Amino acid sequence: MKPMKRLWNLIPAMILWAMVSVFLWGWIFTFLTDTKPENKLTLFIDAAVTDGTGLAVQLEEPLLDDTISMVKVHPFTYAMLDSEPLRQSDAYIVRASHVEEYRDWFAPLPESLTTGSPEASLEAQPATSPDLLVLDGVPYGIRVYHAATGTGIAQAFLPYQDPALPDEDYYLMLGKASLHLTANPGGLDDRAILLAEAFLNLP
Amino acid sequence: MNNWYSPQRASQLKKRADRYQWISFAVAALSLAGCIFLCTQVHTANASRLLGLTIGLSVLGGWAVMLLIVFGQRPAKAEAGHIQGLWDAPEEHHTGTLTVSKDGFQIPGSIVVRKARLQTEAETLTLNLNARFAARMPAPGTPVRVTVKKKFITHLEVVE
Repeated sequence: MKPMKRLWNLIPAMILWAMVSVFLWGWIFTFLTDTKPENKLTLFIDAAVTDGTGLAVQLEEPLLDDTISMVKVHPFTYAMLDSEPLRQSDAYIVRASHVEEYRDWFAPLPESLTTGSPEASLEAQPATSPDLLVLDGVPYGIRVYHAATGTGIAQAFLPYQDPALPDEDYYLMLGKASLHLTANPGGLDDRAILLAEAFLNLP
Repeated sequence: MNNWYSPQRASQLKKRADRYQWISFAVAALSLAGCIFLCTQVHTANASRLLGLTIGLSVLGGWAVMLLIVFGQRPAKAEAGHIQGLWDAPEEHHTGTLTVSKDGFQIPGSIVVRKARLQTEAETLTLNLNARFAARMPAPGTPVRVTVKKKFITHLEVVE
């Protein structure tokens, strides 16, 4: 058999091997780049994320220790097939018009995050000062993007604006099912607050 | 052609097949070791880059092994087996004019064979020829003396 013919006959096996490699290593990497909820902090974002890895690396800097081995940043669409990771997220960034839809997932903000933040009308506040989102008299969110001025936190990683949707404010919320909030049932520590603070400290 | 049907040649081919097999093992082992090493280096910032590198290394390593097996180890092993299989068979000698067909076929798991017709004074014999030697055959119609084992031409000389 001519070498070219032999090579031609080999091509299906080569393609199959490439597919197996992609699937196998992709599967292995999902384990390598993930860990148990108690050992990671998760931030889900209700917007397109242009550089989730960059943002996660920035957040990891002050947060990694013996317990926390990684910070995960995902857009909401990441949980399209399984909403459980989304429900158990430690923190969220949600656009104003979606707050009601996901309200059951949010925990009230602890005092350490609200202290010094005037509970004021959202429209009047500049985006750089932490504005609170108050629902039924309880503070639930801190504004991280101010649509009126187009300024927000970590805009190098999150564009906030979606061409398909009207421009709106975004809020940082904490997760009601997070294991890293002692106010939650089964909460182990308050690292979700540290995650929120780390995000708020980003330029 | 005599050289190609000798125990020495069979032994050489067997050694070559073994060598290719060891090289294939080495390439596979190195690729796997490289992939495992890359996995140990993963952290959030480099995960997607290392995933690409790992997949690339795995794919190229696998392809290299396939090429070594298909183009190196298997042909050498098949030919060594073919020579060994013929070596103890009884010989026949015929003289006539030889015509070799253009198309060959592969004996499964063995060599590629071309059909050859030898026109002797008394009869027409249909013989087999290792396709590797087809290019070395004299022009059709040239009188030749052939040695045949199990219908395979193992030796050929032009009759002057």
